[in-house]
Amino acid sequence: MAEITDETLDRVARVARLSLTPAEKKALHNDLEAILKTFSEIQQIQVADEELYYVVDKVNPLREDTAPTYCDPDKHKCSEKDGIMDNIPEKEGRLVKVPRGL
Amino acid sequence: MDLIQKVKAQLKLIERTNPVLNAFITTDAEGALRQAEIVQDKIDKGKAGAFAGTTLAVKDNICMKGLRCTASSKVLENYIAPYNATVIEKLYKQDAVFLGKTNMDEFAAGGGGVSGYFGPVKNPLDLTRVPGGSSSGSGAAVAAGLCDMALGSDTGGSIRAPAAFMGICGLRPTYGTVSRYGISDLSMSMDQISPAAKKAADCRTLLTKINGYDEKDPVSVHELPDKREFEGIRFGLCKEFLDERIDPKIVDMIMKTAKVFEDVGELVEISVPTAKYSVPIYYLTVFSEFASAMQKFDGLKYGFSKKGDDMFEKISSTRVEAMGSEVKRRVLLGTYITMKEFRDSWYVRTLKVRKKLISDFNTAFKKVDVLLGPTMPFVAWVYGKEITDPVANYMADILTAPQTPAGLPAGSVPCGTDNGMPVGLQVTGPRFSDMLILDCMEHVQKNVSYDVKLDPQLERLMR
Repeated sequence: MAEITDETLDRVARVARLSLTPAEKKALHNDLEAILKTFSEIQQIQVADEELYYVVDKVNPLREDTAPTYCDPDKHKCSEKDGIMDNIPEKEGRLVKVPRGL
Repeated sequence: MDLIQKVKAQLKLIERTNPVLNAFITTDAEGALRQAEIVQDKIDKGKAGAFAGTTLAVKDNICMKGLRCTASSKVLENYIAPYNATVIEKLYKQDAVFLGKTNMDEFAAGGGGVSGYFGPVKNPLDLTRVPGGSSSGSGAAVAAGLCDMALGSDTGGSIRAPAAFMGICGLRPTYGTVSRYGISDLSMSMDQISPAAKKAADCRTLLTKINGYDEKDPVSVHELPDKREFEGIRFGLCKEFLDERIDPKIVDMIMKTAKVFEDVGELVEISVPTAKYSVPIYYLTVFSEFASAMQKFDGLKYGFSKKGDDMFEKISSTRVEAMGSEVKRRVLLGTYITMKEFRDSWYVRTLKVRKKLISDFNTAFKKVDVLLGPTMPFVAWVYGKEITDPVANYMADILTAPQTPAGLPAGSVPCGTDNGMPVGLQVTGPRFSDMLILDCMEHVQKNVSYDVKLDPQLERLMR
């Protein structure tokens, strides 16, 4: 169970969006196997079929179904929105610039 | 001394000690002095809030508007928080003054206080030793007297480990009672913003000012911790917290300290069998949730960003360059154990064992009111002798991991020293027993003598 093939690790790294170097991949491969081997002790514990939900039992909190109020930058300063825009690495005007997806 | 002078003096101490201690990532002298003037004016007019006169340091994974919030990662090195976390809003309303943002393990994913992008934090009691993590800077700032109190966060012991290693008090509150809105998450089902101070009484004051329902946190609860009489308490000496995995000198000290509780109740031996497996339960949960939490760091919306010809290349090269090795390890593990073909045998299995752990704790809390044990299995280790094997490293959390998958509160209070380094007694209780845990911690501080000195080199810097 704790053996991870190179092919699987490549797939995991791709899903995790981490382009690992070969040296990094080798070190992490060893770590992953060692950690999962130790942690496989959870397989031996007798458990019921039911899995955990949430630690906190509660109803799903829902907000009122109303139209959200957007702040209009022409009328007043919206500091939180400006703060969010300031953190965007690449933008054009008020648009986020991203490379092609395909 | 008025508040403005006090803030100036503390800022000066931070400036002098930080090159050695590395407790702060960002100090906010301008904001702190501006706030101190406002609050001093309120004090003079007799209109000040409950925290007027108190200074705080804040772990750098908690957002404060207009300040850098790095979570000690290259990923967020230049991220400026556009809003305040709920706990910060609450404390501002009580007229607290914030001195700055404290150092930590990267994204709180570590227990030593050594893995942050901004370098390791030193233990103020002995600069050659680790501070414990991940709230290492918050703990060090309190222990060195650079601020009055601090906010940290605790997912698997991140407030309790530094408290134990640096001889202060730290309380992990009941999950759901303190809003997580504005924290950079490590594990959303276990993270909890937590108070640290030299005195348990101050942890209590801080807790009561930050807790309460918050509609911005979807797991926030309406209930608050219960208050009960501190007598007739059944104190459980938990077998799994006192076994052969723990330094025998520490076990002896805990057993000796436990005797101070005999005048307010009785000591009972007890077992929580599944607690033995809490390290895998805790870590497998963290891996899964952390991998998910880290998905938002793609270099498009904020944070470190690399160029790339297409979306996949841009995101993958951004992440691989900016994330530290422990972060990558956890992200990969979490991705692996939640993939379709491995999910049932790892992630779902963990959730089932987690349920069993909760049921074991519930059984124990029918027989006792709180559980006693040490906080850490050993005292703070010397730099250079750290454990590099990740599996062995995770095992340092054997005593602080059990509580969190069950959403339980737990606190650490210093109860003695071993070779001059502090030992922490840990009190664990059922959900909403935070006040009882704090009573126990205060009882130890009233009845057990404990004295440590700052490292002489640090003390010279502070003179």
